[in-house]
Amino acid sequence: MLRLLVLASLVLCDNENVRVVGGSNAAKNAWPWQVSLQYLSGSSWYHTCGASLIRANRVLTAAHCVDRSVSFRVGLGEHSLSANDGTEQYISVSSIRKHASWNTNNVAAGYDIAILFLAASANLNNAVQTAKLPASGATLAHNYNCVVTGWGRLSTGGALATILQQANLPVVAHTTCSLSSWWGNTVKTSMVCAGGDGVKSSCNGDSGGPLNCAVNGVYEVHGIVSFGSSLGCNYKQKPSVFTKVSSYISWINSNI
Amino acid sequence: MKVLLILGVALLFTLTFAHHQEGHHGNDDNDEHDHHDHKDSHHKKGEHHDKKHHHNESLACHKIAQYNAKFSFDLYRQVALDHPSENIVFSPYSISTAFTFLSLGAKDRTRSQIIEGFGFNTSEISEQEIHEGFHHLLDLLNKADRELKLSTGNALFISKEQKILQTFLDEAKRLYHSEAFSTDFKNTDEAKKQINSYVEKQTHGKIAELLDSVDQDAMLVLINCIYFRGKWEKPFDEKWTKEGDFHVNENKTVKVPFMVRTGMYNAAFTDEASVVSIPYKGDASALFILPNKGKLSEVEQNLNPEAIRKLQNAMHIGLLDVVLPRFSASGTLSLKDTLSKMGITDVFSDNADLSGITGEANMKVSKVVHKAVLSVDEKGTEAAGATAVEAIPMSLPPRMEFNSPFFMFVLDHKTKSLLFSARIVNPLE
Repeated sequence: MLRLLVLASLVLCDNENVRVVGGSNAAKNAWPWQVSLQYLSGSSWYHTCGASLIRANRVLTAAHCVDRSVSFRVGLGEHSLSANDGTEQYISVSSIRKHASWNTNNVAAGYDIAILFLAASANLNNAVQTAKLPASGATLAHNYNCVVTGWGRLSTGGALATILQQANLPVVAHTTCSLSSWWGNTVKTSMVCAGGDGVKSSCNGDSGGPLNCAVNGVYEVHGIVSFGSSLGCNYKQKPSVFTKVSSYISWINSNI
Repeated sequence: MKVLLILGVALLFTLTFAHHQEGHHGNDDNDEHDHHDHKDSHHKKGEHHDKKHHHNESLACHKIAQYNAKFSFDLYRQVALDHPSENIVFSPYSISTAFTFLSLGAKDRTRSQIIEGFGFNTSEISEQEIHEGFHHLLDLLNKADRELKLSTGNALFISKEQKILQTFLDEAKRLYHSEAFSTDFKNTDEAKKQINSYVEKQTHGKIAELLDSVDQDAMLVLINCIYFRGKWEKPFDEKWTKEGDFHVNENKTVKVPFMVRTGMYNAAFTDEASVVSIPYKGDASALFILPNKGKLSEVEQNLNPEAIRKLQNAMHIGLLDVVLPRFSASGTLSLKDTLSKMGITDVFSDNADLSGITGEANMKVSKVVHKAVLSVDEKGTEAAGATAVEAIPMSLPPRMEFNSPFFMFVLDHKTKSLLFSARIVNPLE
């Protein structure tokens, strides 16, 4: 009887770990290029988006994350947003370069990409590292396994995560993702789709963060969390949609 | 003197006899005479109007729109003063229609008080234009090809014993598409049943028992009904609807189901209030205004077309979490006092001259009953296969939570008219 009770409580604990939507807590420092983009309101800083550190003083994120004219800073080496992890570095954003073709009112048009210039360089260590970007034009096969990370909502309309979440999201090839029963012509070839099983997905607050895909055993940032469906974050056949980083390598190189 | 009863959404005018202070004027001969003249001139105007109507469809109802808008908010503020702490739900469109309809049968000061009281500046717009405007409005709102589920109608219940001038009936029919029914008001139960079942049918069962009783001296009851079933362009998902606290006031909280949707909305957060416009399928929308803490009465007493325009200018499209209570609120207004305060007095007094209806200036409006029911729920257009899925950025949206008293205005964009105005203080009442 006692044994049964212990089992039952174990099951409950497991369920609580189901997060991003449908992901789990990341190990500490597992994704050292993961950034928490924060904005100033009153005298406090609030998480708004994810991002990736790509140079000691450059951060890659989604353009829609920096549309508002407020003060931004980046949190590096973050694990728990509420607790002191002992590894955090906070650096303010000194300037922002959004893609010239970005249209605030139409995320489905693409170009959802921006580079943030930091006021100072980060100290790189085992908690803070720069991300590796894919080769220009690289396209991952259908079902290629990637990992989305972020502090976004744990469910549609729900609360933000405090501990960094990660979830495995298989890539959905453009031919499938652009089927009318999936995203149709809303998705472009300059985007990556991943997920769509109705269980796991990115959600609000994950925007700008990385879609991490291991190529030859090394993680590369293949996507920037961009948009999802208003029907719900984890909606079947409405996979999370990412800005395809490999389509913007030359833009990144000339704007960095 | 007789008394007229006006009903709206249903709006109700009861007209019954009473003694006119100055006695009645006019005689049968004159009436017959009038009657003929009017009928002839009418016919010609009618033909002319029909032609013009087809060629120039957009104009007539827009001409009256600005006046109706101003009146709607003037009326709202007066109603709000008279009902400081409860829910308010009414249809300004319905009230304006019923009274301009009534003005067809009013003369002299009774008539000018109605026209001016309802916000029309007769140096800018003729009475003919006003009636043509309402006629056009009625046509557009009832257009079958609109995706909006909206219907509106006018009806006259006339005492069997009463002779109503043919000119009035003709005008009523031509301009306000009014149906006319013969009613035996002596048989009060039967009369009540006849009127209530008409209203029930016109409002698709939403307003079943408009009248508790009918005055057996009633000679005419005028009714305007409006039924509106708005379906959101983008529905809320019932799956996310959750019970939460609605703060009626500082001391009272009620549990209400809240619908939630994250999507792209035209919205603004200002120093006074949060505002969001939520579109219905078919060129109409609901404007929700949530006053900031402690700003309810300030916002309320500033409600006017200019303030609304200012808010609309501050709005922009962006990602938003909208949290709205699911509710059904109804309001019954006895408008006599409210309208009297707005300068419309003669029609309710022994000075009333409604001789355009019967030929005799011996009746007044005894009662104006207006009842409106407003429901807000998750439902939208049935998801058709071709419906485009909305792509929303995965950033963290601001949250607009209607968990304290708020205002709601239902606007028809095609006719630029305000179909409903509401103040929801307690969604459970």
